[in-house]
Amino acid sequence: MTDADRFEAFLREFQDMVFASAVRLLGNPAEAEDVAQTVFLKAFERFDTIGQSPAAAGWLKTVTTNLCLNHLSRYRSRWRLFSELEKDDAGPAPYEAALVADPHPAGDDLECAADQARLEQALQRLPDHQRVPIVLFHFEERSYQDIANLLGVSLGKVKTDIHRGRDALRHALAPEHASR
Amino acid sequence: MRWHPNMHPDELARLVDRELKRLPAPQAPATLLPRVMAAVRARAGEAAPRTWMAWPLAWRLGSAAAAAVLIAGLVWAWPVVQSQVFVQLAALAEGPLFRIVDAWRELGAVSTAAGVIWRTVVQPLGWVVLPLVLLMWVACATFGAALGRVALGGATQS
Repeated sequence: MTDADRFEAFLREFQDMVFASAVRLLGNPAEAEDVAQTVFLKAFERFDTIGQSPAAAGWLKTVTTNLCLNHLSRYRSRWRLFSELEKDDAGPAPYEAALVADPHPAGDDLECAADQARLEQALQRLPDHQRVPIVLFHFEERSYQDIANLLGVSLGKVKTDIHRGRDALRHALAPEHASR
Repeated sequence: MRWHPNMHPDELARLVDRELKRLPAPQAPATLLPRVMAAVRARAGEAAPRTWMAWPLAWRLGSAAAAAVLIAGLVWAWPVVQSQVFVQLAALAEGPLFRIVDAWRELGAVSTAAGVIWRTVVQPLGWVVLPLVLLMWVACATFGAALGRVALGGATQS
């Protein structure tokens, strides 16, 4: 088995995890794919070290998070105007559409799938400064202090942004808004 | 889901946490793996050429067969090649090339001998012989001048 074959097996094992982290942090599948590619190229450079390591998943998550935050701070502000305009007009992102169009759910499951699709969409529509700390807190299970250190902001701002983000999700998903 | 407008922040935090964790994880697009592998192979190809063991099996078999044929050919042909080389060298020894080479060797031997003589004989004596020659030259010149003045009575000057 060559290095490339072993790395392909490694990639198959972790690609969903890396992509999921990236797409939730960035809220954009195309950018998430670019970041995931960069993450795996970095992994390939250190494959001798991390290939068989039990800490590989943690290493990949850390690198993904750092690259996503780097990406957001470096590129996103440049494109914010356009992305906001697109968000007003565009439908759900491809994987959100896939959730909505899932052919399997029926009855309660269908309602549940629809709710999940709306929640995913609401999460992606949050501004970066609310979505990123919410994702880090709820998906990555990082502490408020850890998030503050990672983002280079105060602890109070992290708590406020997370609270406002949750409130925005509730606002988008509460029954009086759900029917719209 | 039990989202409602007047939720307590703690209740909202628990609900958000539970509902977010229930979301199905997004799947990587099918394009990610080929993209990454293409980039990895390109990098690996740039970084270092593949070792023989990493070649495809057909290439390894072919290259091993070619090497075996080459070695067998050399072993079989070596006596013929060796005799031909000796014949050619003998012909060269009688030709003009050999004379040039011989002259070059003699020239080299002469220059080596001259160098040895210079280093062993001339150089060590140089510091003694040179002042002696100068001193003798000065003495001869003085003696000649004195002889001319005494013996000839300065006739040449009148």
